[in-house]
Amino acid sequence: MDKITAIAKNTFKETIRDRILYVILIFAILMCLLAVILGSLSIGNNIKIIIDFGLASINIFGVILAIFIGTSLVFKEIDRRTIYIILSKPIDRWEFLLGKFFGLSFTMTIIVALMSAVFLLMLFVYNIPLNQLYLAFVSVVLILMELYLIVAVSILFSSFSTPLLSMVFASCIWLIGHFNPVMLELANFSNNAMILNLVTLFHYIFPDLSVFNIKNNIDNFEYVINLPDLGLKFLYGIVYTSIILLITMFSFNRKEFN
Amino acid sequence: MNIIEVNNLVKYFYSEFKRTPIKILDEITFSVPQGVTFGLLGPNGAGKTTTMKVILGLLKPSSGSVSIMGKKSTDKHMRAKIGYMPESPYFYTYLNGYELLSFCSDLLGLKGKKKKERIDELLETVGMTSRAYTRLGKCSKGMLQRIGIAQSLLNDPELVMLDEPMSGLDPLGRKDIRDIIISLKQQNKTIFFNSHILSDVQELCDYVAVLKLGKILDLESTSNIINNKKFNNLEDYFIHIIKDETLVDKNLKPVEEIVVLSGEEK
Repeated sequence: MDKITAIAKNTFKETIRDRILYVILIFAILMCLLAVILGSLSIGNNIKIIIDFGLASINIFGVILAIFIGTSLVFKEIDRRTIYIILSKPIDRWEFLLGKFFGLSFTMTIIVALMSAVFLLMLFVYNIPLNQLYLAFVSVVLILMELYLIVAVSILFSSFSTPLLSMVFASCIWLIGHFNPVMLELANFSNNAMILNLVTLFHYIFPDLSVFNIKNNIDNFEYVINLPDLGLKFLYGIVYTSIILLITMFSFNRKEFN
Repeated sequence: MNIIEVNNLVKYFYSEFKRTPIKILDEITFSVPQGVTFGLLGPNGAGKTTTMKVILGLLKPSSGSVSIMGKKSTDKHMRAKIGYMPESPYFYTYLNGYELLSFCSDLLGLKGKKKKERIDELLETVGMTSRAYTRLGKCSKGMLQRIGIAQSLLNDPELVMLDEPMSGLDPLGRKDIRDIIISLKQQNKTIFFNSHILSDVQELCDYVAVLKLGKILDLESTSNIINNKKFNNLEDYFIHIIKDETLVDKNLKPVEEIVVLSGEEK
Protein backbone atom coordinates (compact mmCIF):
# COMPACT_ATOMS: atom_id res chain seq x y z
CA MET A 1 0.00 0.00 0.00
CA ASP A 2 2.94 2.32 0.79
CA LYS A 3 4.17 2.00 -2.78
CA ILE A 4 0.76 2.72 -4.28
CA THR A 5 0.56 5.80 -2.02
CA ALA A 6 4.05 6.90 -3.12
CA ILE A 7 3.10 6.65 -6.82
CA ALA A 8 -0.25 8.35 -6.14
CA LYS A 9 1.46 11.21 -4.29
CA ASN A 10 3.95 11.65 -7.11
CA THR A 11 1.15 11.59 -9.71
CA PHE A 12 -0.77 14.18 -7.69
CA LYS A 13 2.34 16.40 -7.59
CA GLU A 14 2.82 15.92 -11.32
CA THR A 15 -0.73 16.93 -12.15
CA ILE A 16 -1.03 19.90 -9.81
CA ARG A 17 2.27 21.30 -11.05
CA ASP A 18 0.94 21.25 -14.61
CA ARG A 19 -0.02 24.78 -15.68
CA ILE A 20 -2.71 23.60 -18.07
CA LEU A 21 -4.69 22.44 -15.05
CA TYR A 22 -5.00 25.98 -13.72
CA VAL A 23 -5.97 27.42 -17.08
CA ILE A 24 -8.82 24.92 -17.40
CA LEU A 25 -9.80 25.30 -13.75
CA ILE A 26 -10.06 29.11 -14.01
CA PHE A 27 -12.06 28.71 -17.19
CA ALA A 28 -14.40 26.21 -15.50
CA ILE A 29 -14.99 28.50 -12.52
CA LEU A 30 -15.72 31.38 -14.89
CA MET A 31 -18.28 29.19 -16.63
CA CYS A 32 -19.98 28.51 -13.27
CA LEU A 33 -20.16 32.27 -12.72
CA LEU A 34 -21.46 32.75 -16.24
CA ALA A 35 -24.27 30.34 -15.37
CA VAL A 36 -25.47 32.86 -12.80
CA ILE A 37 -25.40 35.70 -15.31
CA LEU A 38 -27.27 33.59 -17.87
CA GLY A 39 -29.78 32.59 -15.22
CA SER A 40 -30.50 36.17 -14.22
CA LEU A 41 -30.92 37.20 -17.89
CA SER A 42 -33.33 34.43 -18.74
CA ILE A 43 -37.09 34.69 -18.54
CA GLY A 44 -38.83 32.12 -16.40
CA ASN A 45 -36.99 29.26 -14.72
CA ASN A 46 -33.62 30.89 -14.08
CA ILE A 47 -32.70 28.41 -11.35
CA LYS A 48 -32.87 25.53 -13.82
CA ILE A 49 -30.51 27.41 -16.15
CA ILE A 50 -28.05 28.10 -13.37
CA ILE A 51 -28.09 24.47 -12.20
CA ASP A 52 -27.93 22.96 -15.69
CA PHE A 53 -25.20 25.26 -16.91
CA GLY A 54 -23.18 24.95 -13.71
CA LEU A 55 -23.35 21.15 -13.54
CA ALA A 56 -22.64 20.83 -17.27
CA SER A 57 -19.56 23.05 -16.82
CA ILE A 58 -18.27 20.91 -13.95
CA ASN A 59 -18.94 17.75 -15.94
CA ILE A 60 -17.43 18.87 -19.24
CA PHE A 61 -14.35 20.57 -17.80
CA GLY A 62 -13.84 17.63 -15.47
CA VAL A 63 -13.97 15.22 -18.40
CA ILE A 64 -11.63 17.41 -20.46
CA LEU A 65 -9.10 17.38 -17.62
CA ALA A 66 -9.51 13.67 -16.88
CA ILE A 67 -9.00 12.76 -20.54
CA PHE A 68 -6.28 15.35 -21.17
CA ILE A 69 -4.16 14.37 -18.17
CA GLY A 70 -5.16 10.70 -17.97
CA THR A 71 -4.28 9.86 -21.56
CA SER A 72 -0.72 11.12 -21.20
CA LEU A 73 -0.11 9.80 -17.69
CA VAL A 74 1.39 6.37 -18.41
CA PHE A 75 2.53 7.23 -21.93
CA LYS A 76 4.72 10.04 -20.58
CA GLU A 77 6.37 7.66 -18.11
CA ILE A 78 7.23 5.27 -20.94
CA ASP A 79 8.17 7.97 -23.45
CA ARG A 80 10.43 9.83 -21.01
CA ARG A 81 11.78 6.55 -19.68
CA THR A 82 11.03 7.49 -16.06
CA ILE A 83 9.22 4.17 -15.81
CA TYR A 84 12.57 2.32 -15.82
CA ILE A 85 13.50 3.94 -12.53
CA ILE A 86 10.18 2.90 -10.99
CA LEU A 87 9.85 -0.64 -12.31
CA SER A 88 13.45 -1.50 -11.45
CA LYS A 89 12.46 -0.99 -7.80
CA PRO A 90 10.62 -3.69 -5.82
CA ILE A 91 7.19 -2.71 -7.06
CA ASP A 92 4.58 -4.64 -9.03
CA ARG A 93 3.22 -3.17 -12.23
CA TRP A 94 -0.33 -3.25 -10.89
CA GLU A 95 0.81 -1.17 -7.91
CA PHE A 96 2.22 1.39 -10.33
CA LEU A 97 -1.07 1.55 -12.26
CA LEU A 98 -3.22 1.79 -9.16
CA GLY A 99 -0.97 4.57 -7.87
CA LYS A 100 -1.42 6.46 -11.13
CA PHE A 101 -5.20 5.97 -10.96
CA PHE A 102 -5.54 7.08 -7.35
CA GLY A 103 -3.18 10.03 -7.88
CA LEU A 104 -5.17 11.44 -10.79
CA SER A 105 -8.48 10.59 -9.10
CA PHE A 106 -7.37 12.61 -6.08
CA THR A 107 -6.49 15.54 -8.36
CA MET A 108 -9.93 15.26 -9.97
CA THR A 109 -11.56 15.24 -6.53
CA ILE A 110 -9.78 18.47 -5.57
CA ILE A 111 -10.69 20.12 -8.88
CA VAL A 112 -14.33 19.10 -8.71
CA ALA A 113 -14.45 20.22 -5.07
CA LEU A 114 -13.13 23.67 -6.06
CA MET A 115 -15.55 24.03 -8.98
CA SER A 116 -18.45 22.74 -6.87
CA ALA A 117 -17.64 25.10 -4.01
CA VAL A 118 -18.11 28.06 -6.38
CA PHE A 119 -21.20 26.48 -7.92
CA LEU A 120 -22.92 25.54 -4.66
CA LEU A 121 -22.08 28.93 -3.17
CA MET A 122 -23.88 30.56 -6.10
CA LEU A 123 -26.92 28.35 -5.53
CA PHE A 124 -26.85 29.21 -1.85
CA VAL A 125 -26.69 32.94 -2.60
CA TYR A 126 -29.70 32.49 -4.87
CA ASN A 127 -31.65 31.01 -1.96
CA ILE A 128 -32.29 27.76 -3.73
CA PRO A 129 -34.40 25.35 -1.65
CA LEU A 130 -32.45 22.90 0.44
CA ASN A 131 -33.86 19.91 -1.41
CA GLN A 132 -32.48 21.20 -4.69
CA LEU A 133 -29.20 22.18 -3.07
CA TYR A 134 -28.89 18.62 -1.77
CA LEU A 135 -29.66 17.18 -5.22
CA ALA A 136 -27.10 19.53 -6.77
CA PHE A 137 -24.54 18.21 -4.29
CA VAL A 138 -25.44 14.57 -5.09
CA SER A 139 -25.17 15.41 -8.80
CA VAL A 140 -21.65 16.68 -8.25
CA VAL A 141 -20.69 13.49 -6.38
CA LEU A 142 -22.09 11.41 -9.25
CA ILE A 143 -20.15 13.52 -11.75
CA LEU A 144 -17.06 12.68 -9.73
CA MET A 145 -17.89 8.97 -9.97
CA GLU A 146 -18.18 9.37 -13.74
CA LEU A 147 -14.82 11.14 -13.80
CA TYR A 148 -13.13 8.28 -11.91
CA LEU A 149 -14.44 5.92 -14.58
CA ILE A 150 -13.14 8.21 -17.34
CA VAL A 151 -9.75 8.42 -15.57
CA ALA A 152 -9.57 4.60 -15.63
CA VAL A 153 -10.54 4.52 -19.34
CA SER A 154 -7.92 7.20 -20.14
CA ILE A 155 -5.21 5.28 -18.28
CA LEU A 156 -6.18 2.10 -20.12
CA PHE A 157 -5.61 3.77 -23.49
CA SER A 158 -2.55 5.62 -22.24
CA SER A 159 -0.89 2.30 -21.39
CA PHE A 160 -0.72 1.20 -25.02
CA SER A 161 -1.41 4.16 -27.26
CA THR A 162 -0.21 7.69 -27.97
CA PRO A 163 -1.89 10.57 -26.08
CA LEU A 164 -3.62 11.90 -29.22
CA LEU A 165 -5.16 8.54 -30.15
CA SER A 166 -5.99 7.84 -26.51
CA MET A 167 -7.78 11.19 -26.30
CA VAL A 168 -9.87 10.28 -29.36
CA PHE A 169 -10.67 6.80 -27.94
CA ALA A 170 -11.49 8.05 -24.45
CA SER A 171 -13.66 10.88 -25.81
CA CYS A 172 -15.55 8.37 -27.96
CA ILE A 173 -16.15 6.16 -24.92
CA TRP A 174 -17.46 9.19 -23.02
CA LEU A 175 -19.80 10.16 -25.87
CA ILE A 176 -21.02 6.59 -26.38
CA GLY A 177 -21.45 6.30 -22.61
CA HIS A 178 -23.80 9.28 -22.54
CA PHE A 179 -25.79 8.20 -25.59
CA ASN A 180 -25.86 4.57 -24.52
CA PRO A 181 -29.55 4.40 -23.39
CA VAL A 182 -30.68 6.62 -26.29
CA MET A 183 -29.04 4.24 -28.77
CA LEU A 184 -30.77 1.28 -27.19
CA GLU A 185 -34.11 3.06 -27.34
CA LEU A 186 -33.60 3.90 -31.02
CA ALA A 187 -32.54 0.33 -31.78
CA ASN A 188 -35.76 -0.93 -30.19
CA PHE A 189 -37.66 0.90 -32.93
CA SER A 190 -35.67 -0.95 -35.56
CA ASN A 191 -37.09 -4.08 -37.15
CA ASN A 192 -33.62 -5.36 -37.85
CA ALA A 193 -32.76 -8.00 -35.24
CA MET A 194 -29.06 -7.78 -36.04
CA ILE A 195 -28.95 -4.04 -35.29
CA LEU A 196 -30.88 -4.57 -32.07
CA ASN A 197 -28.53 -7.36 -30.97
CA LEU A 198 -25.47 -5.33 -31.87
CA VAL A 199 -26.66 -2.24 -30.02
CA THR A 200 -27.68 -4.37 -27.02
CA LEU A 201 -24.18 -5.87 -26.98
CA PHE A 202 -22.68 -2.36 -27.18
CA HIS A 203 -25.00 -1.28 -24.38
CA TYR A 204 -23.48 -3.87 -22.07
CA ILE A 205 -19.87 -3.46 -23.19
CA PHE A 206 -19.69 0.33 -23.05
CA PRO A 207 -20.37 2.20 -19.82
CA ASP A 208 -23.79 3.75 -19.34
CA LEU A 209 -22.77 7.19 -18.12
CA SER A 210 -26.36 8.45 -18.07
CA VAL A 211 -26.60 6.54 -14.77
CA PHE A 212 -24.57 9.34 -13.18
CA ASN A 213 -26.70 12.12 -14.63
CA ILE A 214 -29.57 13.26 -12.41
CA LYS A 215 -29.47 16.94 -13.26
CA ASN A 216 -32.67 16.80 -15.32
CA ASN A 217 -34.56 15.94 -12.14
CA ILE A 218 -33.19 18.70 -9.95
CA ASP A 219 -35.84 21.32 -10.77
CA ASN A 220 -38.52 18.72 -10.16
CA PHE A 221 -39.48 19.31 -6.54
CA GLU A 222 -41.09 15.92 -6.25
CA TYR A 223 -37.96 14.04 -7.27
CA VAL A 224 -36.38 12.31 -4.33
CA ILE A 225 -33.26 10.26 -4.77
CA ASN A 226 -33.42 7.29 -2.48
CA LEU A 227 -30.35 5.75 -0.95
CA PRO A 228 -30.62 2.26 -2.52
CA ASP A 229 -30.88 3.85 -5.95
CA LEU A 230 -27.86 6.04 -5.20
CA GLY A 231 -25.99 3.01 -3.84
CA LEU A 232 -26.64 1.11 -7.08
CA LYS A 233 -25.25 4.00 -9.10
CA PHE A 234 -22.09 3.98 -6.99
CA LEU A 235 -21.83 0.21 -7.22
CA TYR A 236 -22.13 0.40 -11.01
CA GLY A 237 -19.37 3.02 -11.14
CA ILE A 238 -17.06 1.08 -8.81
CA VAL A 239 -17.57 -2.26 -10.60
CA TYR A 240 -17.12 -0.77 -14.08
CA THR A 241 -14.02 1.23 -13.03
CA SER A 242 -12.54 -1.87 -11.37
CA ILE A 243 -13.08 -3.95 -14.52
CA ILE A 244 -11.34 -1.30 -16.64
CA LEU A 245 -8.44 -1.19 -14.17
CA LEU A 246 -8.16 -5.00 -14.21
CA ILE A 247 -8.01 -4.99 -18.03
CA THR A 248 -5.32 -2.27 -17.89
CA MET A 249 -3.30 -4.26 -15.33
CA PHE A 250 -3.52 -7.39 -17.46
CA SER A 251 -2.37 -5.61 -20.62
CA PHE A 252 0.31 -3.59 -18.77
CA ASN A 253 1.71 -6.73 -17.17
CA ARG A 254 2.43 -8.14 -20.61
CA LYS A 255 3.97 -4.92 -21.87
CA GLU A 256 7.65 -4.77 -22.74
CA PHE A 257 9.68 -1.61 -22.40
CA ASN A 258 12.01 -1.70 -25.42
CA MET B 1 28.35 -17.37 -5.80
CA ASN B 2 27.15 -15.93 -9.09
CA ILE B 3 25.09 -12.79 -8.72
CA ILE B 4 23.97 -12.77 -12.34
CA GLU B 5 23.51 -15.88 -14.48
CA VAL B 6 22.43 -15.55 -18.07
CA ASN B 7 21.91 -18.80 -20.01
CA ASN B 8 21.27 -19.02 -23.76
CA LEU B 9 19.35 -15.77 -23.64
CA VAL B 10 17.51 -14.93 -26.84
CA LYS B 11 15.46 -11.79 -27.27
CA TYR B 12 13.34 -10.85 -30.24
CA PHE B 13 11.74 -7.50 -30.86
CA TYR B 14 8.86 -7.29 -33.27
CA SER B 15 8.36 -4.59 -35.90
CA GLU B 16 5.36 -2.37 -35.23
CA PHE B 17 3.00 -3.40 -38.03
CA LYS B 18 4.23 -6.53 -39.76
CA ARG B 19 5.26 -8.14 -36.45
CA THR B 20 8.46 -9.32 -38.16
CA PRO B 21 10.81 -10.73 -35.51
CA ILE B 22 14.18 -9.01 -35.14
CA LYS B 23 16.75 -10.96 -33.15
CA ILE B 24 18.34 -8.57 -30.65
CA LEU B 25 20.10 -11.09 -28.40
CA ASP B 26 21.35 -14.35 -29.82
CA GLU B 27 21.87 -17.10 -27.25
CA ILE B 28 24.10 -15.15 -24.92
CA THR B 29 25.52 -16.88 -21.87
CA PHE B 30 27.61 -15.36 -19.11
CA SER B 31 27.76 -15.11 -15.36
CA VAL B 32 28.92 -12.43 -12.96
CA PRO B 33 30.33 -13.62 -9.62
CA GLN B 34 29.81 -11.69 -6.43
CA GLY B 35 32.07 -8.68 -5.87
CA VAL B 36 33.13 -8.44 -9.51
CA THR B 37 32.93 -5.34 -11.69
CA PHE B 38 31.74 -6.53 -15.06
CA GLY B 39 31.72 -4.39 -18.19
CA LEU B 40 29.51 -5.15 -21.15
CA LEU B 41 31.04 -3.55 -24.22
CA GLY B 42 29.81 -3.26 -27.74
CA PRO B 43 29.07 -0.85 -30.56
CA ASN B 44 25.74 0.97 -30.70
CA GLY B 45 22.86 -1.42 -31.30
CA ALA B 46 24.81 -4.44 -30.06
CA GLY B 47 22.16 -5.27 -27.43
CA LYS B 48 23.85 -3.99 -24.26
CA THR B 49 20.88 -2.04 -22.92
CA THR B 50 18.49 -4.85 -23.92
CA THR B 51 20.63 -7.31 -21.93
CA MET B 52 20.44 -5.03 -18.93
CA LYS B 53 16.67 -4.63 -19.26
CA VAL B 54 16.16 -8.39 -19.46
CA ILE B 55 18.32 -8.86 -16.36
CA LEU B 56 16.17 -6.28 -14.57
CA GLY B 57 12.92 -7.91 -15.69
CA LEU B 58 11.86 -4.88 -17.74
CA LEU B 59 11.89 -7.17 -20.77
CA LYS B 60 11.04 -10.86 -20.84
CA PRO B 61 13.41 -13.35 -22.48
CA SER B 62 12.12 -14.86 -25.74
CA SER B 63 14.00 -17.98 -24.66
CA GLY B 64 16.78 -18.86 -22.27
CA SER B 65 16.95 -17.82 -18.67
CA VAL B 66 18.22 -15.07 -16.42
CA SER B 67 18.65 -15.37 -12.71
CA ILE B 68 19.86 -12.89 -10.13
CA MET B 69 21.15 -14.18 -6.81
CA GLY B 70 19.55 -17.50 -7.71
CA LYS B 71 16.09 -16.02 -8.27
CA LYS B 72 14.13 -15.16 -11.40
CA SER B 73 14.77 -11.67 -12.70
CA THR B 74 11.04 -10.93 -12.49
CA ASP B 75 11.01 -11.55 -8.72
CA LYS B 76 9.99 -8.28 -7.08
CA HIS B 77 11.79 -8.97 -3.79
CA MET B 78 15.04 -9.61 -5.61
CA ARG B 79 14.86 -6.08 -7.05
CA ALA B 80 15.15 -4.71 -3.51
CA LYS B 81 18.82 -5.75 -3.70
CA ILE B 82 19.50 -4.08 -7.04
CA GLY B 83 20.32 -0.50 -7.87
CA TYR B 84 19.82 0.61 -11.46
CA MET B 85 20.65 3.75 -13.35
CA PRO B 86 19.32 3.88 -16.92
CA GLU B 87 21.20 5.47 -19.80
CA SER B 88 20.76 9.27 -19.92
CA PRO B 89 18.33 9.18 -17.02
CA TYR B 90 15.22 11.29 -17.49
CA PHE B 91 13.58 12.27 -14.30
CA TYR B 92 10.41 14.06 -13.35
CA THR B 93 11.16 17.66 -14.27
CA TYR B 94 8.64 18.93 -11.70
CA LEU B 95 10.56 17.39 -8.80
CA ASN B 96 13.80 18.54 -7.25
CA GLY B 97 16.65 16.17 -6.45
CA TYR B 98 15.60 15.71 -2.84
CA GLU B 99 11.98 15.01 -3.79
CA LEU B 100 13.06 12.43 -6.37
CA LEU B 101 15.25 10.62 -3.86
CA SER B 102 12.44 10.77 -1.33
CA PHE B 103 10.02 9.28 -3.87
CA CYS B 104 12.47 6.48 -4.76
CA SER B 105 13.04 5.82 -1.05
CA ASP B 106 9.28 5.39 -0.59
CA LEU B 107 9.27 2.79 -3.36
CA LEU B 108 12.10 0.99 -1.58
CA GLY B 109 10.28 1.09 1.75
CA LEU B 110 12.73 3.45 3.48
CA LYS B 111 11.06 5.55 6.14
CA GLY B 112 11.55 8.31 8.67
CA LYS B 113 14.96 9.22 10.01
CA LYS B 114 16.72 6.40 8.18
CA LYS B 115 15.34 7.67 4.88
CA LYS B 116 16.39 11.26 5.52
CA GLU B 117 19.87 10.23 6.63
CA ARG B 118 20.37 8.01 3.59
CA ILE B 119 19.23 10.76 1.19
CA ASP B 120 21.52 13.34 2.85
CA GLU B 121 24.43 10.90 2.79
CA LEU B 122 23.99 10.11 -0.90
CA LEU B 123 23.49 13.74 -1.89
CA GLU B 124 26.82 14.37 -0.20
CA THR B 125 28.45 11.37 -1.94
CA VAL B 126 27.39 12.51 -5.41
CA GLY B 127 28.18 16.16 -4.66
CA MET B 128 24.61 17.40 -4.98
CA THR B 129 23.92 18.69 -1.47
CA SER B 130 23.95 22.34 -2.54
CA ARG B 131 21.70 21.59 -5.54
CA ALA B 132 19.32 19.22 -3.77
CA TYR B 133 16.41 21.63 -4.12
CA THR B 134 16.98 22.59 -7.76
CA ARG B 135 14.19 21.41 -10.03
CA LEU B 136 15.43 18.49 -12.13
CA GLY B 137 14.07 20.22 -15.22
CA LYS B 138 16.72 22.88 -14.69
CA CYS B 139 19.61 20.48 -13.96
CA SER B 140 22.47 19.80 -16.36
CA LYS B 141 23.13 16.32 -17.71
CA GLY B 142 25.96 15.84 -15.24
CA MET B 143 23.72 16.76 -12.32
CA LEU B 144 21.04 14.35 -13.51
CA GLN B 145 23.65 11.62 -13.83
CA ARG B 146 24.69 12.23 -10.23
CA ILE B 147 21.10 12.11 -9.01
CA GLY B 148 20.69 8.95 -11.11
CA ILE B 149 23.60 7.32 -9.33
CA ALA B 150 22.27 8.48 -5.94
CA GLN B 151 18.81 6.94 -6.54
CA SER B 152 20.44 3.67 -7.61
CA LEU B 153 22.31 3.44 -4.29
CA LEU B 154 19.47 4.32 -1.91
CA ASN B 155 18.84 0.70 -0.90
CA ASP B 156 22.55 -0.04 -0.41
CA PRO B 157 22.25 -2.62 -3.22
CA GLU B 158 24.28 -5.80 -3.59
CA LEU B 159 24.19 -5.45 -7.35
CA VAL B 160 24.59 -2.07 -9.04
CA MET B 161 23.65 -1.85 -12.71
CA LEU B 162 24.77 1.27 -14.53
CA ASP B 163 23.90 1.92 -18.16
CA GLU B 164 26.44 4.29 -19.69
CA PRO B 165 27.14 6.07 -16.39
CA MET B 166 29.81 8.34 -17.87
CA SER B 167 28.20 9.29 -21.16
CA GLY B 168 27.92 13.02 -21.78
CA LEU B 169 29.89 13.98 -18.70
CA ASP B 170 32.79 16.41 -18.61
CA PRO B 171 36.16 15.07 -17.33
CA LEU B 172 35.42 16.25 -13.80
CA GLY B 173 32.00 14.62 -13.77
CA ARG B 174 33.51 11.40 -15.14
CA LYS B 175 36.11 11.40 -12.41
CA ASP B 176 33.45 11.85 -9.73
CA ILE B 177 31.36 8.96 -11.08
CA ARG B 178 34.54 6.86 -11.41
CA ASP B 179 35.38 7.58 -7.78
CA ILE B 180 31.89 6.49 -6.72
CA ILE B 181 32.29 3.20 -8.62
CA ILE B 182 35.73 2.65 -7.06
CA SER B 183 34.23 3.20 -3.62
CA LEU B 184 31.46 0.66 -4.45
CA LYS B 185 34.14 -1.82 -5.51
CA GLN B 186 35.87 -1.30 -2.19
CA GLN B 187 32.59 -2.18 -0.48
CA ASN B 188 32.67 -5.48 -2.43
CA LYS B 189 29.54 -4.63 -4.41
CA THR B 190 28.88 -6.41 -7.69
CA ILE B 191 28.82 -3.85 -10.46
CA PHE B 192 27.55 -4.45 -13.96
CA PHE B 193 27.92 -1.65 -16.43
CA ASN B 194 27.74 -0.72 -20.07
CA SER B 195 30.05 1.92 -21.37
CA HIS B 196 31.63 3.30 -24.50
CA ILE B 197 34.37 5.03 -22.53
CA LEU B 198 36.92 2.26 -22.64
CA SER B 199 39.60 3.97 -20.58
CA ASP B 200 37.17 4.00 -17.65
CA VAL B 201 36.18 0.39 -18.28
CA GLN B 202 39.86 -0.59 -18.31
CA GLU B 203 40.40 1.14 -14.99
CA LEU B 204 37.26 -0.12 -13.28
CA CYS B 205 36.29 -3.53 -14.63
CA ASP B 206 37.59 -6.93 -13.59
CA TYR B 207 36.01 -8.66 -16.57
CA VAL B 208 34.63 -7.50 -19.87
CA ALA B 209 32.37 -9.14 -22.41
CA VAL B 210 32.17 -7.85 -25.97
CA LEU B 211 28.76 -7.93 -27.58
CA LYS B 212 28.17 -7.46 -31.30
CA LEU B 213 24.82 -7.85 -33.08
CA GLY B 214 23.41 -9.66 -30.08
CA LYS B 215 26.22 -12.20 -29.74
CA ILE B 216 28.98 -12.25 -27.17
CA LEU B 217 32.26 -12.34 -29.11
CA ASP B 218 34.62 -12.57 -26.18
CA LEU B 219 34.68 -12.62 -22.40
CA GLU B 220 37.98 -11.91 -20.74
CA SER B 221 39.65 -10.64 -17.63
CA THR B 222 40.81 -7.03 -18.03
CA SER B 223 44.14 -7.95 -16.41
CA ASN B 224 44.74 -10.65 -19.05
CA ILE B 225 43.95 -8.26 -21.87
CA ILE B 226 46.41 -5.66 -20.61
CA ASN B 227 49.10 -8.00 -19.33
CA ASN B 228 49.52 -10.26 -22.34
CA LYS B 229 51.08 -7.34 -24.25
CA LYS B 230 49.12 -8.12 -27.41
CA PHE B 231 47.10 -4.98 -26.98
CA ASN B 232 48.21 -1.57 -25.75
CA ASN B 233 44.93 -0.94 -24.05
CA LEU B 234 41.32 -2.03 -23.89
CA GLU B 235 40.44 0.08 -26.91
CA ASP B 236 42.90 -1.88 -29.12
CA TYR B 237 41.46 -5.12 -27.79
CA PHE B 238 37.89 -3.95 -28.38
CA ILE B 239 38.55 -2.88 -31.98
CA HIS B 240 40.38 -6.14 -32.66
CA ILE B 241 37.51 -8.24 -31.31
CA ILE B 242 34.81 -6.28 -33.09
CA LYS B 243 36.61 -6.61 -36.44
CA ASP B 244 37.44 -10.30 -36.01
CA GLU B 245 34.68 -12.14 -37.88
CA THR B 246 35.95 -15.58 -36.77
CA LEU B 247 34.97 -15.01 -33.16
CA VAL B 248 31.22 -15.29 -33.67
CA ASP B 249 30.95 -19.00 -32.85
CA LYS B 250 33.71 -19.16 -30.30
CA ASN B 251 32.95 -21.18 -27.18
CA LEU B 252 33.44 -18.87 -24.23
CA LYS B 253 34.70 -19.82 -20.82
CA PRO B 254 32.64 -18.69 -17.86
CA VAL B 255 34.13 -15.92 -15.72
CA GLU B 256 35.12 -18.27 -12.91
CA GLU B 257 37.15 -20.43 -15.31
CA ILE B 258 39.17 -17.56 -16.71
CA VAL B 259 42.67 -17.84 -15.34
CA VAL B 260 44.21 -14.48 -14.75
CA LEU B 261 47.56 -14.80 -16.48
CA SER B 262 49.78 -12.40 -14.64
CA GLY B 263 49.61 -9.31 -12.50
CA GLU B 264 47.15 -8.86 -9.76
CA GLU B 265 43.48 -9.17 -10.52
CA LYS B 266 41.68 -5.91 -9.99
